[in-house]
Amino acid sequence: MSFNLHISDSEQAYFDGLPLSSEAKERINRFIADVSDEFRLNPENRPSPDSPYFYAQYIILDRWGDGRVHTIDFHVRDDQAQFGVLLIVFIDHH
Amino acid sequence: MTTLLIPSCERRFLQTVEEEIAAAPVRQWSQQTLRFCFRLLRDMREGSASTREMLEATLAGGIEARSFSHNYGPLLAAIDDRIGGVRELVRRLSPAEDPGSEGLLAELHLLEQEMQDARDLLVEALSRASEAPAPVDWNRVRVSEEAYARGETKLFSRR
Repeated sequence: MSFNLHISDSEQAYFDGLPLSSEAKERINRFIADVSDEFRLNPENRPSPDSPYFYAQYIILDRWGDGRVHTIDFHVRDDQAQFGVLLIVFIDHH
Repeated sequence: MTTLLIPSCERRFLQTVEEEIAAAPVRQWSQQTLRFCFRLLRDMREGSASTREMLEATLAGGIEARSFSHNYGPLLAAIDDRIGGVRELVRRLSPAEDPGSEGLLAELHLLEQEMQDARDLLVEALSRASEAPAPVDWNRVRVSEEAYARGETKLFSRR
């Protein structure tokens, strides 16, 4: 199942400003949109079992950009997941 | 995963070459033995190049960090083992005393470089994948949630 990913203007602006190629960003977008329930609901990926958030760390080699490996952390609110909605609440690139 | 990317027989082949070097100087080897070694070393180099290309393709596709560490972490020990085997052959053949040894040394250096390129990429990726997440900025989380509550969020897009 592919989710509708919602994001605030400020987080979108942060993402847009990352030093990544458009192709890499497209893959990152797809990764979060296609996240599996198995991953999302895995307790290892949640701050606590009853937390409305899950966490995903993604690495990507930006061969279309700087040729380096990048790490992007996503914190996503998923209490509307049954309606197909995820809300990205925090992105960090390092 | 490791055995899929680096055949275990490569290590045994390197040991066999090491034994041949110990048994007799390269100048005393038959032409068939020398050609066989060259061919296998080149095959190993092509295999290493394929390993690096597969790794690049995996990383360029993007992958969840923990999954990457789990699946590809063991590959590092395998690559290090092969590089160690190649360096031992280089040590035993140096200094080259005949054209056959020179040729083998040149081929071994190319193989080592190819393996090192794959190792460098793997180490960089494993290092990235093991980075601790930055502390969450809960103020940014709050801003996102308030924007959603007001119906002001948009669909996530790449630009």
